[in-house]
Order: sequence, then structure tokens, then C-alpha cells
Amino acid sequence: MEWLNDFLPLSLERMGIWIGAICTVALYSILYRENPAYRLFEHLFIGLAAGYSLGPLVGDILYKYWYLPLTEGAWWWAFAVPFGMWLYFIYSEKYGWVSRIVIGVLIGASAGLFFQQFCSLYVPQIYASFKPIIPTGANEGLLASNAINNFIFIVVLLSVLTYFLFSFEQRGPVKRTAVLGRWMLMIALGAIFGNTLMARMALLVGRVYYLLHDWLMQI
Amino acid sequence: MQLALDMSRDGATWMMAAIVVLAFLGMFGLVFLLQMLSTQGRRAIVVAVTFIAGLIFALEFFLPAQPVDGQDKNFLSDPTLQIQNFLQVVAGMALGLGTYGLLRLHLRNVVQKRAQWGYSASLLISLVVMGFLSIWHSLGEKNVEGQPLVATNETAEYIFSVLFNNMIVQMDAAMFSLIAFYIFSAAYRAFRIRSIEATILMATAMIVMIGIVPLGKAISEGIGLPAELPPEYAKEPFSLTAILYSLKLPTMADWILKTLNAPATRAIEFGVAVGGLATAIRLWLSMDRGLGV
Repeated sequence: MEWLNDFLPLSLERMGIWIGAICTVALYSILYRENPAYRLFEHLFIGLAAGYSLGPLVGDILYKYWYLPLTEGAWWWAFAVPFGMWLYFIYSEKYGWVSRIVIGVLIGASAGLFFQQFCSLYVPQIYASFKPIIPTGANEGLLASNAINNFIFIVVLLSVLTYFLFSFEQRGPVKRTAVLGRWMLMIALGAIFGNTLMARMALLVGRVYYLLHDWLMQI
Repeated sequence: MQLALDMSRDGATWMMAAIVVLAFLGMFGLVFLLQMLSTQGRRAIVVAVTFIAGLIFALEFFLPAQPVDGQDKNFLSDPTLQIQNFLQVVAGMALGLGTYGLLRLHLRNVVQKRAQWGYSASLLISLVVMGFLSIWHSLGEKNVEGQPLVATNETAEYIFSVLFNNMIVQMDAAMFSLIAFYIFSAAYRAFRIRSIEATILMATAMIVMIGIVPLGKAISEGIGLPAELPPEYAKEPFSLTAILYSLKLPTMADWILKTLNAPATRAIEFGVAVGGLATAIRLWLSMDRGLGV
């Protein structure tokens, strides 16, 4: 009887847990088959998530980057929102092209930022990929095991890059390197797959624990 | 004195409101002017703004910089920061566009009473309620001169907390954990050994999956592999103890992730980066037909 009193949603905290449990069970019901409970909670989830996104939009973007500069006297910021609202012309057949001006600005800026990203992110990665494989004066502490690992690292990197060479027909040594690259890709994909599966399993374990521990109070 | 301050504040607020209204009127008036342009003129404008937007960021990065206040800057560094903030606002409007699209679709379902319009109604109600509470909550967290920007309400905060913590967070975790079941089914198909590639994929995934959880350590130590590598063997990788330690599932999983997975993933990233660079140049120079008007 005491367990039942604790279990039932008789307090605000228990009510919250019951709501969470009902949401979880309703979404898991899809594992049996498509049903109205799943559909309802799926729509609720989309609505809530879309609604929630408006808070950060207003508080963290419009207030911080538009309203505050305006109040500090930067009057030209007043044009940012109406310019962004040109995007909404996308639904108009007659004025739809105006939205492409805004899209053009966003795409152009993204392209410009990508040049920066390419140089600042990928160029150092290329440099860092070529690790020492022979002990010299510059890397006296290099162990044989590290040197072998570094050699394997470079071989894998180059063979996978060779696999992606589609500009000409792969023949002879290039083809053999590409085959090795394909096997290395399989290893990488297997590792990524294993990691992803375990991450999802951790989430599933978390959900089962929530149902058994928080809701049913069984463990 | 206070009255004068309040009046000057009121005056500034009215002035700001007038500027915002004028900006809206001006920008929407500009649309009607732009509408008078020919198709070639419209295309030229889209191409020009795309090019200029990209050029500013490219120039800012490639032009030589001088140390100013401990940072390397050139004459475009500060303006690009302002432009990035401006683009945040514009991109924020794009987020609103997505919400507007969702509202439009589901409102139409409800108004026209299409099949299963009740689900659309539930989506709209949850969107409107959560949107209102989320904006209220977000503005309530902002402080102006020590006071919250918007007065908060305890009941509203409680409802927001229930909707966020007990619904969104729980359903988000449930949705992502659902994928585990589908991944299992995909794994069954992917792991059927039909070729050398499938065998490599399966073996690697198995080692990684078992190696990164406590089961891998338990199995390895259960068959007698050393639990730890004594420090004196750390510099002797070819000693029997070090070799046996390397055969432990957690060590193998770690080695696969760092020595085989990392370079292969990096090679994929390099390919994506070069492809992205080519696409960025095409978009920047409006060589794709997508921006045509």
C-alpha cells in the first residue's frame, strides 16, 4: 500500500515522472506497430521542440544581436530583421525571387567562412597527419611501437585517399592501394558503427532505467 | 532630475521604435522598387550580393594582419564580426521560416479538416503553448539594470519546466534510443558474412563494441591477459607481457580507434573538405543554377 502511494502521481514531482514515462512508453509503442498513441506523441514532440526553439531565437539572437545594439545607438541594426524577413517572400510566386537575395548573402558568407575553415582547420590537420616514423635528432624519444603506429596511420590515410581517386581508371599498384583503402574504410566504418550502436544502447539503458527506477521504483 | 531622465528614456524608446518602423517600411518599399528590375537585373543583384558576402570573409582571412591589442587584425576584422552578428539575426529569421512553414502546413490541415487533422491540432497547440512559454522564460532570464526584462510567473515557469524536462527531454532520449532497435536490425543485415569487406566490418565492430564496455575487460582478464601493463614494460613493446597486454579487447579497441579509424576518418574528411571547397567556390561565384531568378 505504501508503494502504491509513492507510485501514484499524487505529488508534482511524481506527476512529472508519470508524464515522462507516458511519453516514453507511447513512443516505444511504435516497436509493436504504428498506432494513434505514437502518432499523437510524435506530433506533440515536434510541436514542443519547434515551440521551444522560439525562446532561444528571441532571447539569444533577436534580443542579444538586434535589440541590444539598437538600444546602444546602432540604428542601422534596425534593417537586420526586415532584411531577414525578405526570406518569407519565398511563399510568394510574384516576389519569391527577393528571398534569394537573403539566401545569396547567407550562402556567400558561408562560402567565405568555408575558405577560412579550410585553411584554419584542415591545413593543420594535413600537417599533423604526417607523423615521424624514423627516430631522428628532432624526435629522440620516439619508441619503435610509436613509429610503427605512425607508419600504419600514414599508410591508412594514403590508401583511403587513393580509394577516393576517381579522376582516372585505377590500375596496377594504384588499384591494389585502393583495395587496401577499401578494407581500411571497412575497419573505420565498423568502428564507427560499433561506437554508434553502443551510444544508442547507452540511451536505451537510460530509458529503461528511467522506467524501472524513476517510474516503477523497482530497482 | 529623475523625471527628466525618464522623459529622455521615453524619448529614446520612441525614437528607436520610429527607426524600426521606418526600417521595416523602407525595406519592404525597396522590394517594390526591386520588383521593377528585369530578370537579368534581378539575377545580377543576387550574384553580386552572394559574391560580396563571400569576398568580405575571404579577404578578411587572406589579407595580412597586424597585431592590435594582442590580436592579429586587419581593417576588415571588426566589420566582419559585426557582419557575422548581422547574419546571426538573418539566419534567426530562417529558423522562424521553418516554424512558419510548420504552422502553415498544419493550420491548413486543421482548417480544411483533412484526414487525421486532430494530430495537426495537437501539434499546433503544443507549438503555440511552448513557443509562448519559451519566449517568456528566455526573456525572463535577461537582466536590465538588475531587473528581469520580463516579469516571471511561478505557474508559467512550472508548466515550462514540465513541458521541457518531463516531455521534450524524455521524448528526445526515447526517440534517439529507438534508433538502437533499428540499428540492431541493420547490423543483422550488414554483418552477414558474404565478402571480405563484410567480415572486416563485422570483426571491427565486434571488437569495438565489446572492447569499450566493461565486458571486454572482464573477458580479457578472464582468459588470463594482464590487467595492467607494468611501467618497466612500457618501453619494451615486443616483450611477451606487452604483447599479451596489447591483445586485450579494450587495448585493441583503443588501437583500432586511434590508429586505423582516425586516419581513415581523416581521409574521408579531407575528401569532404576538398569537395566542400569546390562547392563553396561554385556557390560563391554563382556557377550553380540554384540561385537563378
